[in-house]
Amino acid sequence: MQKIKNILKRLINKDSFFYKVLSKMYHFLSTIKYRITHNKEVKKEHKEYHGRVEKAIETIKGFQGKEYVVFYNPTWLGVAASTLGLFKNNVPLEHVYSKKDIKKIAKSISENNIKSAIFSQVCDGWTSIIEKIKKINPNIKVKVIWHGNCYEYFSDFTWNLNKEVMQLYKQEKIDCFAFVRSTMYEFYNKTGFKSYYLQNNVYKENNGKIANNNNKKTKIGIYNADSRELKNIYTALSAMKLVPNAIADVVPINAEAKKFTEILGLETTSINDYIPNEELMKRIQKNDINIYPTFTENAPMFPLESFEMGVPCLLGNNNDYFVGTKLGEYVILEKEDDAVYIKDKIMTVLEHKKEIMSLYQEWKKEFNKKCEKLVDEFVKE
Amino acid sequence: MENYILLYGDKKPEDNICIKNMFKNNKQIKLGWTDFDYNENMKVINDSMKEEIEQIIISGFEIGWDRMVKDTKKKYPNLKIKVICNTQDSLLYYDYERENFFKLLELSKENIIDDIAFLRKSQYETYKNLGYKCSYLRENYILKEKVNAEKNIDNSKVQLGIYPLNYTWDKNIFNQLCIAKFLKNANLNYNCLDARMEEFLNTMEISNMPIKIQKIEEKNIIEELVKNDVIISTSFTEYVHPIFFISMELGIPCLIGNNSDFFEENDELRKYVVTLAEDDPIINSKKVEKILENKEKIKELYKKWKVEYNKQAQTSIENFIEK
Repeated sequence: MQKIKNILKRLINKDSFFYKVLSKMYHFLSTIKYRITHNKEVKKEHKEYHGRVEKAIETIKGFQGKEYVVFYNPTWLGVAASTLGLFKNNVPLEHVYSKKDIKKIAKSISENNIKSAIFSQVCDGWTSIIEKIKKINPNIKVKVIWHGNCYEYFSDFTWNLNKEVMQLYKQEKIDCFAFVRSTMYEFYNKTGFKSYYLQNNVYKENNGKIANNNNKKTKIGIYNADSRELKNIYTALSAMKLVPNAIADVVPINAEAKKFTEILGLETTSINDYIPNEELMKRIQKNDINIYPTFTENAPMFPLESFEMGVPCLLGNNNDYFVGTKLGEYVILEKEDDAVYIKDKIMTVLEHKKEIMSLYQEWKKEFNKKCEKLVDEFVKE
Repeated sequence: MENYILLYGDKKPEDNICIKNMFKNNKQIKLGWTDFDYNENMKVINDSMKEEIEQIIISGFEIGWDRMVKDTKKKYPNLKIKVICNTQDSLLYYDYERENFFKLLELSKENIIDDIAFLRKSQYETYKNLGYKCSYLRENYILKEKVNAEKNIDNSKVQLGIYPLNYTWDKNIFNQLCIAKFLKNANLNYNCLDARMEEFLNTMEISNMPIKIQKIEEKNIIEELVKNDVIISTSFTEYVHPIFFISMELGIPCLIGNNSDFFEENDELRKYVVTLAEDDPIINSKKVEKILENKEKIKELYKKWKVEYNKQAQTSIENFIEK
């Protein structure tokens, strides 16, 4: 019996040959099954993707003769906001599935005499576009902006994609990478990959001018935090509860987090829905402070957006913003899993809000210059 | 002090290493998935009651234990039932952790559970403020037998050890593995929980030696730790820290994340062994370099710190039991 158990254990081990073959077969057969049973939807979806490719080609034409274009997926909100904040010649493009579309995009880069194609992260089909571009014209430079950090290799999708991209670099189909965190840039440089350093940036009409809110209670916001464990929403809610007279604005809030606020007896003004960025920016101005106590990041957009809208934001010490500055001493969290510590930081920020916002405005001027310089170096490579 | 029995399950064997070390009257029970498990657990409790115990301390609150606790209280109303919480707010994202934690709070409100011990001060403060009957317990581990830590080290390279005991997000595994890239002449010994760890290290050309700790037990962990000059355990969030304690007790410095209540802010040992930036391999490689330069000093600082810490931990255990 034990022998049979051991054999079975070996066979179902994730690393075994048998498991790998079985999972590949399963994946292959389920894809076929899906295509047969969802034929109409698949066709419709592909037509939509094709339409987006046609639009992208039109956009590329508008950048004829330019130094570069940057492809980004407009449905990946963080990456899209980051790309639009940094570059001028942007081309929205989603996943590309048809071989014809892949060829069309690659050809349009070459025909419009564009010198570099930059890919802000990599969607399905984009590695094929990269290969095609190099095949059509090896002199066109291909650059990839990698928005993740090594933590993300825990995910199958990210690790497999990273392997594929690294392989393309080794085959000289990708010329260089850019990373939005200095530690990633150093790591890949040290490993032998030609790398550049970029920083995400945000420009909003308020430019950090302090938001006027006459809240009777202390309103604290936390946003888009219920989708991943590393967003640390439960510790954040506990910390908010410890702040005297606090109301939490949590958007979206799922049923589980909602139940937790009830257990804590934490007053909320939350809704369980994603809201468009424009609406979110208006909403956060009603808060006294926003918090973003995540465990790991690269160059998160939300803290900058919050500051730009005039509301200070606490953030984890897992990115390059405000490092080594007085502003950083106020708003960078060094103990993200400690509710009492986060509460103390919230109280300190509330006490020094004016000073913090003025420190931010000063910091932002220098940061804008730095970001432009980094983009320049990367684009001109 | 002897009037209790501590019951623990096998869901988190790494936590049990410290808990068993702290409470000597302990027995393993089953997770309560089935009626069979429930009956077995009740038998353990009934047998313990024959020894005239006055309280049951349960380490963690696992699936099905709510039924066991309710029925025990019904049968023995004078018996105190205390629970050592084994999860913290950052891990409540997981259904299993959250659902059992919510049940624990409910049973505490219903006075079926008489006390909840939290191993993190901030959690204790939060739930005390909410009116729950709770205590703050300091986790601890004391090495009972002397082990010769020096003999197994290969001195030709700096030996770094990374021994996550779970392949979960909170262990921050890949950022930890990157640290070796920034250290000269380093070899990484590690608990290979997934083939991807080895693939990653080989792709990034980091010298490495994988092993697999088959059974999470003190003896097996010690066997691996002693092969290293320094241990790295910079997880994002951690509730119990067995790797830190075992390693430091063996005289091997261990770098941990800023996710414990071990040290006062200005503690000298803290400056060496705690990183504030768990996901930054450059900062952490510099911390490791500092540790290697000051190994003997760190050993001395630890010895001094541990004498005081042992007293505090013992007092917290006594207060919890006597409550």
